[in-house]
Amino acid sequence: MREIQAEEITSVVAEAIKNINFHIRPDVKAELQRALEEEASPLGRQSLQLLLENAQMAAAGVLPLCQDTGTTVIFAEVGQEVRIVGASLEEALQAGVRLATREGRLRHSIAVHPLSRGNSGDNTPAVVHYHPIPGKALKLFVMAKGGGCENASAMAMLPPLASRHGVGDYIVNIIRTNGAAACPPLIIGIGLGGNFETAPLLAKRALLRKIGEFSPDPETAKLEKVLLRRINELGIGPQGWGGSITALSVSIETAPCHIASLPVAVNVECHSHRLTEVKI
Amino acid sequence: MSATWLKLPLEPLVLRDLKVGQWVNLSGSLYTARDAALKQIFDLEADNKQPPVDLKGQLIYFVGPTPPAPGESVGSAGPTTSRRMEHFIPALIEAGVSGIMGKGPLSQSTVKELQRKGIIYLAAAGGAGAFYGSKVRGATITAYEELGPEAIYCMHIENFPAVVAIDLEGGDLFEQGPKTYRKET
Ligand code: SF4
Repeated sequence: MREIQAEEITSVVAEAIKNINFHIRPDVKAELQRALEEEASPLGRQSLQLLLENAQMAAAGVLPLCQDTGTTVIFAEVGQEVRIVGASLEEALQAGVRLATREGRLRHSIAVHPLSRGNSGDNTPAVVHYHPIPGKALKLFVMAKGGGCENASAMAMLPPLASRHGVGDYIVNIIRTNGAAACPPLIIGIGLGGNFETAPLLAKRALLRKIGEFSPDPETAKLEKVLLRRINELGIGPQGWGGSITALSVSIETAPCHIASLPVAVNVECHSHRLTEVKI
Repeated sequence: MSATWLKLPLEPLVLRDLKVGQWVNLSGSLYTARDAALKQIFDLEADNKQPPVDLKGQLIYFVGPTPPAPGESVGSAGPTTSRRMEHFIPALIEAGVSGIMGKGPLSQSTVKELQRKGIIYLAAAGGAGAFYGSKVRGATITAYEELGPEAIYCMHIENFPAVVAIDLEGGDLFEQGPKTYRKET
């Protein structure tokens, strides 16, 4: 058994959250620079330039990249030979969120109840997904997920024998209706298969992939490329002001499903894409 | 990018010259509001009561900033989704605002309503919170302090760039822009 102190987890998580809120990911920066070269619309290019300037300013560590510092989403891959000492893993992670919110001066963006809407005041609770893995490592994907782009997300239970094109139509239509309000250029995660609760989780997992990488499965990779092209052909463009670059990437994760079902979930992510992976 | 310099509060006469897709550079004061504060204003008006702030002639910016660093008035302060405020826009119209600013499209019926009332819609670049935060020179909470980031602030901004998204002729950037670049068959 390997012992990990809860305090260590808390401080690692807090650092990760602060880091992603102030420092643009290198892959996103590279994609925005590529978009700046390729974008057909002058207004689109000017807005991309502004985002690069924004990233530069945020890197000074005072002003977060975006004022919506998001819901913290954590995928925790917990080695089966790990024992956490001092507090539960859940408590350690939530304490990290609290600490980052205070030290990073992050916005308080979590309502304690969906209807009564009081503010939790410290951005807890984070949404945490736990997965046991063999070995002695604790791996955390830490994400700050914006509300505006999360609102643009959707899922459906499609007919089981829908064609690839039909599935694509559903996805493209979601972006057509919701994309402009979600801070394009977008990063799009898609979950295909599974069931009613796992498809959205697959879609969120798809967002963990490095931008610009396609699925290792050739068929899925082909669909990702087709969808990226179709979404960019919508003309929504950066900020929805019109242009040739609406999305930077489309990633799809698949899972087996019931013979009667074809669940599809589209998780829309914005260009802020605050995400990191830490290993303890 | 060449931009038109605009002083806030907006002068009614200049609104007419603003055209969809044009950059404006804003300096002066505006009021912020988003979901929770707008709902309160909406409810007050439904009760025939006055909102706590006189919004007549003002530009309303849909934003919920991050907390300020020591010595500053706000932190990051980029726009939030305007579509979510659509339900409350009639209350803002009723209060006599001259313009609204946020990110993303508004529905056709709102576009028409804004045009009919001579109200401009400016789009700021979504996700540029640090950039816009650096354009805020001062901010004071005017109402609903208990709402935290959703309080109404009177904000003083300088050299704050935005794009005209709905003009007084009913032009709509979120309709026209994508149409120009659409390649779908
Ligand atoms: S969608 Fe993303 S970039 Fe846009 S305001 Fe929300 S968090 Fe910020």
